[in-house]
Amino acid sequence: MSPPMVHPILKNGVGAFIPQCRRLVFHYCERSGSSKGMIEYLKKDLIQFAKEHPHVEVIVTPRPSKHPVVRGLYLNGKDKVVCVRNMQPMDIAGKVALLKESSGNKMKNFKKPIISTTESVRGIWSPFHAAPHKI
Amino acid sequence: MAGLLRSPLVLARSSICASAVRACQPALTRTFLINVKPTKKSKLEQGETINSTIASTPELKDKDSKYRIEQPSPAVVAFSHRMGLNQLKDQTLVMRIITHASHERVGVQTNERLDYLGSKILKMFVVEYLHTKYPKMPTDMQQEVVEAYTRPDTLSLMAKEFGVEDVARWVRSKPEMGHQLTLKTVKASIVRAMVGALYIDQGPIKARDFIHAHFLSRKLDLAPFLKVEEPKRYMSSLMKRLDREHPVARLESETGRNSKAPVFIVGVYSGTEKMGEGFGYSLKMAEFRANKDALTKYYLEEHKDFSLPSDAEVEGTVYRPTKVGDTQVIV
Repeated sequence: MSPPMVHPILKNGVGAFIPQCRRLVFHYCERSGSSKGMIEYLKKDLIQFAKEHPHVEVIVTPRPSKHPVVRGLYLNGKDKVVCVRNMQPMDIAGKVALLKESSGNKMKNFKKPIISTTESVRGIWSPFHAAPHKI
Repeated sequence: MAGLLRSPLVLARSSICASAVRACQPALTRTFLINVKPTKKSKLEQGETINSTIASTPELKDKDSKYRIEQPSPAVVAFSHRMGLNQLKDQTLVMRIITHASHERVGVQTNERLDYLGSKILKMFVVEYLHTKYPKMPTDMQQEVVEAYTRPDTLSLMAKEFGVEDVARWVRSKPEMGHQLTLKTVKASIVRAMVGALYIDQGPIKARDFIHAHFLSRKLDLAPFLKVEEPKRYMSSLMKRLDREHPVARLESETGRNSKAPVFIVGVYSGTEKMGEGFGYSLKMAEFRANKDALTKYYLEEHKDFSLPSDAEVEGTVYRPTKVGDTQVIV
């Protein structure tokens, strides 16, 4: 049996960095009060945001009778949704930045202080190579 | 903004992208109706919006070419910025890159030529890099490593990380056909076409930089590619060829020889120089690993701070050729 095929593994940021957010969808309602800040954000700041981040596709879609929502879609196939009801444009900008910079991965608790796919330069400690123990 | 207009019947989906912003106000690129009964009013409105859409996107026609110039969708513009394809002087190449040969339409250009060119360029620069960095790497192993970097499987995985699936244009082959075209093939062709387009539009150095940034920066453990059946025999032939002393395995450390779980550490020496080290629960196994380690260290010796032959093309750099390594020993 032949061994499984080995693939070169992406280390994003080494060599090139690929921004992981590929699309942001803005949902708003034209009549509800909770969308007031969102509409203001769309009118004032969104075009500037789209200009500054050409690698993100920006879509604006009305969603009547619902709270406003910002949805980020990522290269790993996952998406993240943030409800921005009753928020001021500035707070929405913060949420949008959060979605834009996210990798799209699930939130998880990192239990080890260092996470790396590269093996340690020093190697694993070995009793055979260390200085003998003195009593 | 068209999407913000109070229009309860028409749901306008307006996409803002860099190109649209640059051209004018955000253009209404796609418009569709959702759950609307066809009333007179809605038909009117629909007609109006469609007309305005057509009016807002002026059809650019190049009179010299029989091919029509297609407007990239916002997703394509985002993709091209993500991959740095916005630096291409000829922006029509972007639509061409993402169009697989199966998407054959009148007046639509496909990536067939770019794909072929890209595959050759990709292999060339990968070989150049490996050849210079690992001067002693055996040729058959080098072929396998190049294959690992450039085979369609790898490229389609990379394509997924680039977000190619979103923008690829292709047509699934009909079920009665013998050979089925898969998305994997299409994705690989698009990645190769990107390299080809950069090469043809920006020159070899930009294409090389792209390959170094996206392909060669990836992590690939080379040690498993070195396949040696009998390392001990191989090692002694190698030492003979290099005109050095016969390799000798020496026990460096051991524990629990008579126990259930013994550990031996064996080093392989040529004269006084230690060539490699291995561990194992038997002396034989430790010796095998030590010889293998010695061979890996010898054949996968890395060059640091080397300059590549293509550096001769770059202005202001001095190309210092590296010494071509020895060929593999025949056992």
